[in-house]
Amino acid sequence: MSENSSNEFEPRIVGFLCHWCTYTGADLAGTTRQQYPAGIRIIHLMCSGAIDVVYILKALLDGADGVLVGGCHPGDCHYQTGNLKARRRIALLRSIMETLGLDQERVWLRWISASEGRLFAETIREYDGALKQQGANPLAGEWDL
Amino acid sequence: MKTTTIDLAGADFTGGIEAFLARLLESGLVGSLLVPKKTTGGDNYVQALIKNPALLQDTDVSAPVMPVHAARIISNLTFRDPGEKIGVVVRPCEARALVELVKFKQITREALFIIAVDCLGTYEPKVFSALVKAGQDPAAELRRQAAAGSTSPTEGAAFRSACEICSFPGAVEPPLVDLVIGLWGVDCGRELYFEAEDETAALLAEKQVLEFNDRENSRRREIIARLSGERAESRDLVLDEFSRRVDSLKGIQELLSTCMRCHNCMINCPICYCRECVFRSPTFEHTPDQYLGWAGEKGAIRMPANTVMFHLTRLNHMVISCVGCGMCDTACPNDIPVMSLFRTVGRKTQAMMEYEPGRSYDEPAPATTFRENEFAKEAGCGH
Ligand code: SF4
Ligand code: SF4
Ligand code: FES
Repeated sequence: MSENSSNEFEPRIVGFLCHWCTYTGADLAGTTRQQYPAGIRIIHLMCSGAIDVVYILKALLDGADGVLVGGCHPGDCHYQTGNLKARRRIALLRSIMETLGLDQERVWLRWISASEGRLFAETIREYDGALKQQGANPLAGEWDL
Repeated sequence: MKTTTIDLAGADFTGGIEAFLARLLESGLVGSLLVPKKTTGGDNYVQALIKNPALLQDTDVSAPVMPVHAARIISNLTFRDPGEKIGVVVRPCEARALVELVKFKQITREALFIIAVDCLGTYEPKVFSALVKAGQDPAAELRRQAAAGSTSPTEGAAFRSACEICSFPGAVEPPLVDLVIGLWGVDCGRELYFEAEDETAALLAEKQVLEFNDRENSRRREIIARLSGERAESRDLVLDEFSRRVDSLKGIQELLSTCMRCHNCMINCPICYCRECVFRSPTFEHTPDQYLGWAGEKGAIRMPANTVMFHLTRLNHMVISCVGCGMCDTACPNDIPVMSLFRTVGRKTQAMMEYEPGRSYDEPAPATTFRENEFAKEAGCGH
């Protein structure tokens, strides 16, 4: 991943985004020229409920600085309740991370609809700022995992 | 609830239970029985699926060894309706895992007649084997001690670490199970003790399997309550201490240092029921260039890869239903304290989701349910 000229730390974020809402919201952010940090890599899911923690863990253990799971607002999931099941799964993951001394703020879950391009850009800026404060993911430098 | 205390009239404990099991089989209430039976080698008990009452010989429901978790076998036998009732004998951690597997639709409850038995502690199979080879009768010895209200391992041997911190010494109770065989506070040299719900008791009496004479053993209940409290205390001490061992990346790396990702802990876990675990699926069959790419990114990677990930994933997938049976410890060739890790993480997540594995058939498994408004902060949803 390229670093900018000042050598400032640029967080790498992996975004797992639901097709119907957040992915479309991200698209809208692009077409309406919202500014947000370039360090996000997007993975397209049909529903936030399709996320398995194994993929989040893979991203984190491979050194991603943050993982953002994006889904439809409660009540708007196109598969009824995928997002509410995802919320439980991620709450569980973060609790486990906390018990084991892993930084749970490296996983966020956000509800962003297809029309909320601006909110998508704001969220990425917010996460980027928070991750800059936290610093690089220490797992990035670990071979013995 | 009906109770009964049956005079052995000269027979011994195993003989008395065998006779009861034979009547159960012959009554037609069950078509087969799954019971721990002494191996031909004589130094171990394995689960035996028995059709012929004559082969109930050498079975012992109190054998203090569990080389395989009964709930796993019961799942093999009833993942679809086997077409007849199978009588199964389960200790507390087996019954609680059984309840979880019923929820996951891996066990057909209707196909079972569940006989729950008090647990007096278990030895690792190799320890049990050594005791038998040294001429001891560990089961009889523990039954003797249990009559007086507590058990301890033979000098020089130890119970499995899961048993030492298990707060469920008493058999799981009806209606989760059909019948209870009590051992705590029971003078097993002279008598047998059973409990069942009224309806089951009436059926067993009608078929002349078991008479219910309402002779209750109230000492048993007191002993179980006391032991359960004591064990809960030592569990908290052990897990508090252990949680400090794994509260950092370095701690986890040290814990898993000797893991060879053989998957034995998963294969023997009663709760890990997936027929194809993701770690043994094409998802984790990586190509040479993928490995080389990761090694290039980090400079080096541990091989086989994904050791920490395997344990973290397994924790996420099943820890909420972990019953603390310790089969993972028994299975690990390198003595990694997997059970302590899972119980340490499990007690926090189970509390968070207000869930106790094995407590009820009706309470949905946390991963399959949700509430409208919950866990926003915990899931990192902001405010
Ligand atoms: S049984 Fe032990 S060595 Fe094998 S995968 Fe589990 S923890 Fe690792
Ligand atoms: S993780 Fe270990 S202690 Fe927990 S249910 Fe599985 S085998 Fe038993
Ligand atoms: S379809 Fe968007 S979260 Fe389910």
